[in-house]
Amino acid sequence: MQTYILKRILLMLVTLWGITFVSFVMLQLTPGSPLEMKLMQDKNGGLGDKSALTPETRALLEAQYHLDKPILVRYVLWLKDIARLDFGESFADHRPVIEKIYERLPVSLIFGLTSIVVSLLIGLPLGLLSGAFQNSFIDRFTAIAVVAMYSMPVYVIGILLLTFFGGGDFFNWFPIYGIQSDDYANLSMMGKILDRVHHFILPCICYSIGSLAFITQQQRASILEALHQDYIRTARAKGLPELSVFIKHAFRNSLIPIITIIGALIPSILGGAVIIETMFSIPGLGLLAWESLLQRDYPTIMANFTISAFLSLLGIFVSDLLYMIVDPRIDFEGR
Amino acid sequence: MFSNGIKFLKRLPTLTWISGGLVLIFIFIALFAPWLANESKSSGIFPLVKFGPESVDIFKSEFLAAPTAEHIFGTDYVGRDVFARLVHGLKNSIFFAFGVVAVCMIIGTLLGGAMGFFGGKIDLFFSRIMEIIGNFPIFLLQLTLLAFLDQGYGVLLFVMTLAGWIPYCRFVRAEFFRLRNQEFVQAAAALGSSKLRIFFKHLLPNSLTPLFIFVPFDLSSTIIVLGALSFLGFGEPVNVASVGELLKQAKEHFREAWWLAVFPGGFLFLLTLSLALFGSALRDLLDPRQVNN
Repeated sequence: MQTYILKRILLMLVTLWGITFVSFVMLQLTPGSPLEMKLMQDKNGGLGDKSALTPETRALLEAQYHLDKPILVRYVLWLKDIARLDFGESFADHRPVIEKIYERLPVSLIFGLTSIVVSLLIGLPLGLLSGAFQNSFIDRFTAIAVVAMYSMPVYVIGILLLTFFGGGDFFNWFPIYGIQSDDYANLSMMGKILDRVHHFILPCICYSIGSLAFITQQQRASILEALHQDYIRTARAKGLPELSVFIKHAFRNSLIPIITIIGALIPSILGGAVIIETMFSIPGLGLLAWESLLQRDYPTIMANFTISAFLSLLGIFVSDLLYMIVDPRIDFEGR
Repeated sequence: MFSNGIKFLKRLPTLTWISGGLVLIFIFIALFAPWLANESKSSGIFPLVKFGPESVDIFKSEFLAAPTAEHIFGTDYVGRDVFARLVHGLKNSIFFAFGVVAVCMIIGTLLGGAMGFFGGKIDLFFSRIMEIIGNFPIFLLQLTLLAFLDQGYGVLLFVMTLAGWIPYCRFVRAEFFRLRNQEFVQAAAALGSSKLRIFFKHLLPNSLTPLFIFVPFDLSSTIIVLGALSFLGFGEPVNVASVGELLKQAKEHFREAWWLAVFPGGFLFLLTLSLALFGSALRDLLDPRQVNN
């Protein structure tokens, strides 16, 4: 088992390296040098425009950001820095990038985790019912609902929620900006919690819809698979009541695959984060990615790529690990 | 097989017919967009709605006007007819999605075929590449490239196919590996068929059918991603009518103009939903294991 884990970690690092390398080279090759972008952003800071720059200053700046070196050397330097978790300094506001990430990461994590919990709470029973009463009305209804949730673009749900519940021509039920009200500091403890929850609901619906579809579908397939196993026939043959067969034997075993797919949800959650967080002005990783793109903030963009890729790979890795712990029949040594 | 087909048709006919019918309607919209909404000035065309996607009547048009008999879906923030923009936007997404899926399919099939056919180092090399691209935060990558490169359909096609070929490639590769050692292939080799002939005449046709089941789903998700990119302002070129652009306006004017959210959002959802339902119906129809279940 240790060998397997070690092997997986090494492979993960190789893939992560590949991802950072490709994104680094790609960013450097796109038109508009980082230095020019940096200077344009510094305009208001008093450095003046590009033409006012003497060759000496330019050379000095290039040296400061390693821009006088070839791409590969720059990449190695960047790699050295991130090995110490130093993602450099943001071009946009000169703060260390890692600080901005630390600020934003918890917000996205909370939304991601809540959406997974919500999808489990709704998706597991729905998938269970659908599989238990195969081809019944509820099964067909669930099948269509799953396809509908898969086909529903997250921005369409978001806009419909904004239009209908965000205080336009219809209902003014939910706040639509940020994660807390302006007078948040003055609220009581309970008021603070309610305020957060109030801000939480609409974005959370958007975050959850994809995972909900996925979990419902997987749970249905999983319970159907479990119901066709030999041990179910044995349990029935020895005269156990149907409900007990279903809950104690089928349901428990059907949960194994579900545990393992949760990690696989991370990439899609991160992908949706950009859209949802810009739509509801939520200060999370997605909004940071969006802002850094608009500002051409290269160090932050690279940090976003690295962290997103790392979280996705971590999710898949943890899934596999859980699978192994939960189901002792699985033998990874041979792989 | 035949009785299975009958059984299947009895079990899920309505949904199959409805989704198939809706897909046909959307294809009809795409093909006949100029006849559905166009400026009446164009000669020889008598359109259903007398507004083109770009037409603004500076004397009469109101911006952000609610639906009326004249503008059945209302107008947008510069006074253009939402119905016209929606019809042409749907047309653009459908045509573009077909293009993207075709390119992904060709690249994926040829590369996957080569990987499965030759195996060895070629297979190993492209497998690593697939692993890297497959684990990439792909939506972020697409956004970044679009933000940094000039907007246009060429760049958009490149960005959308970047990871889109992977599912096709993975599938065809596995099929080729499976088929490679089957008797009919060995027989063809023994008869002296060239490698090229074995590749294109024997292996390829036998691994293609299941790929087509994937097409409606891929079209659906391509249209969703295209809409997302346009919604964020980096997708289709700015002046082109697109569903994503209408939804972007809806986001900016969600307090004043519900028609900008409801009609484009509703039709986009109907399009992706009918494609996905049609895909499931097709899958059930072509996969006998599903029917017997």
